Amino acid sequence: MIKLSKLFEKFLLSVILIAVTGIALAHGERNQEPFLRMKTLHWYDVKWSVDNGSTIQVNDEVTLTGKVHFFSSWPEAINKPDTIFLANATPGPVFVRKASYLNDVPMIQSTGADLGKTYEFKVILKARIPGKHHVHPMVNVESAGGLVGPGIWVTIDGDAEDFVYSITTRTGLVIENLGSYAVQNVVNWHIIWALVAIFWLFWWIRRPMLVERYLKVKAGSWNELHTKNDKLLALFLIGFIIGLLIYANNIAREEYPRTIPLQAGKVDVEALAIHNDGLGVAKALHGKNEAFVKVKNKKAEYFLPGRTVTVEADITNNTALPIQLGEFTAANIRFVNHNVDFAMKGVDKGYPDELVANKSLEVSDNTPIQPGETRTLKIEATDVAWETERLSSLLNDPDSSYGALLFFFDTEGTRMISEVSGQILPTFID
Amino acid sequence: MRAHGGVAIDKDYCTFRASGYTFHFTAYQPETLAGKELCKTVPSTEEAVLVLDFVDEALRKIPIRVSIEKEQETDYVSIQSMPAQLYPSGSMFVPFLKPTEGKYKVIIDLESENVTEHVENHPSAATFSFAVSDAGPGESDSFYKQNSWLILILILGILLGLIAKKLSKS
Repeated sequence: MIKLSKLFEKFLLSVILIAVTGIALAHGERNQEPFLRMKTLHWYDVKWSVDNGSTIQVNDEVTLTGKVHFFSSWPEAINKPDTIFLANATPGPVFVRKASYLNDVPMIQSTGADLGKTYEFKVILKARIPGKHHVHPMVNVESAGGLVGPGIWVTIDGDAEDFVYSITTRTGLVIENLGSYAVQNVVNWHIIWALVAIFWLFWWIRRPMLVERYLKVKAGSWNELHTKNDKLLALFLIGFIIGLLIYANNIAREEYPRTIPLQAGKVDVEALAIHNDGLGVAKALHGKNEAFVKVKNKKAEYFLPGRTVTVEADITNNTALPIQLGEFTAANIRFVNHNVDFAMKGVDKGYPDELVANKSLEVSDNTPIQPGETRTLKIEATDVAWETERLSSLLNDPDSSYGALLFFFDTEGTRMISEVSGQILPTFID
Repeated sequence: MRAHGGVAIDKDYCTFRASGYTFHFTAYQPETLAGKELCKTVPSTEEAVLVLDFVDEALRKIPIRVSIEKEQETDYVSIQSMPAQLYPSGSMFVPFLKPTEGKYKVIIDLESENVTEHVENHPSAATFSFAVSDAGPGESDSFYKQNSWLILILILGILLGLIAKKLSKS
């Protein structure tokens, strides 16, 4: 009866476990909540040194460059980007990251970023394991995880065995292949420590282990649990292990006299100056110190059946030249105004198709906004990407808000970038 | 598994394929179920909106004919038909005014000479079936969904009972 009731208990607990758990399928950029993707990092001007869908060989290099903007209305739900690390998002160690830079500062260590600021990044990768891989830039934010930029497909061809990563250290030491450098040494030391551990384990398990010792503990005969030989051996092993460590440390110091400890500090990186984004410097409106376009969100709706996000915003042109809205970008999806040539030129030929909406960004009034003028624009971004990239689930988020960047172009082609964000409501009425 | 992850739109059970391309069907009943995404079953005869998402990028450049048919006795009869056209936004919707109870089919037909080149063995037309029932919202949900609160309280009671039994024994 007892066995049956135990069996029933186990069965019941298993049923409960199955009933209350779901299948864990989630991971990856599409699984991140839309407010995380729209109000954290905005990647733009991203370029890869190889084409989307291209095939490279093991040992070939791929360079990712572009800009990353840290959104001002950073979500309350996650940590601020006080400690970040520039990396790449690829499926496992299929590439080796040779170097990474944020505003030309090597990103060997972590850094911190300021909200509302933009940084220029560069990541150099070396192909290692064959296969078809999705290659993105990524910034890891402490306690928030990886925030991923746009990606392209790259196929690595060849044999992983041919991978060679050679470097010359600052002392002039040439390492033919970092991938296999001193591996034998690592193996030898693992064997030595494993032998010590196995010897210690066998020393104890050769004697009755459980029942006899349990009875002795129960009888309070603690002293009988170990013998004089056990104590002597323990003492010997303490001496042996510490002695071995001292010896190992000494030979390592002789072999490698100059070493750099793992760095725990952070480096400082200065953000890009406003509008210094490589597309000209905007002229400030007469009487203003700085050229900028002020954007004030008035209303935002998501028209579910039409897969359309509509934003109504007041745009104030504080530059010396007339401007037009050229692009709306959110969560790595780009909506480009086909009526603005400067904006169309900004879409590279090889840029991933799925990340650029086919349909033009609809703007209620495309006539240039004059210097000093404030105009209310209705901006419509329509594409199935809102659904395929799972951004429409923002309506069920604890933070039902959106965030995007607006790219304005003046008559000389100078680009000005402004943030827009606010609450968003679902609607079935167009 | 490749990049992305999660139950992507191209992998859920509301998708269907034609000529190797992926389509996604969603029905909404704004009056009764707000933004809830429905698929195989539309639970009431309230006004509905049907949305077709053309998941693959290439579909934006292929004219697509869409029609909706309803089962009547032994055959399906066309009740709405949209001529072949391009959908550059990768999506289209049909206001589905006052549907009646029964079985429906959404048929899409790719109108291009090149579509067979994509996957030769796949037909260029495909069908997605769904049913409209008059059970009312929530009525067609599974037994577990309808009674989940009761089941969870029952499970909690059993667990507490087992723990109490263990405690009393010790």
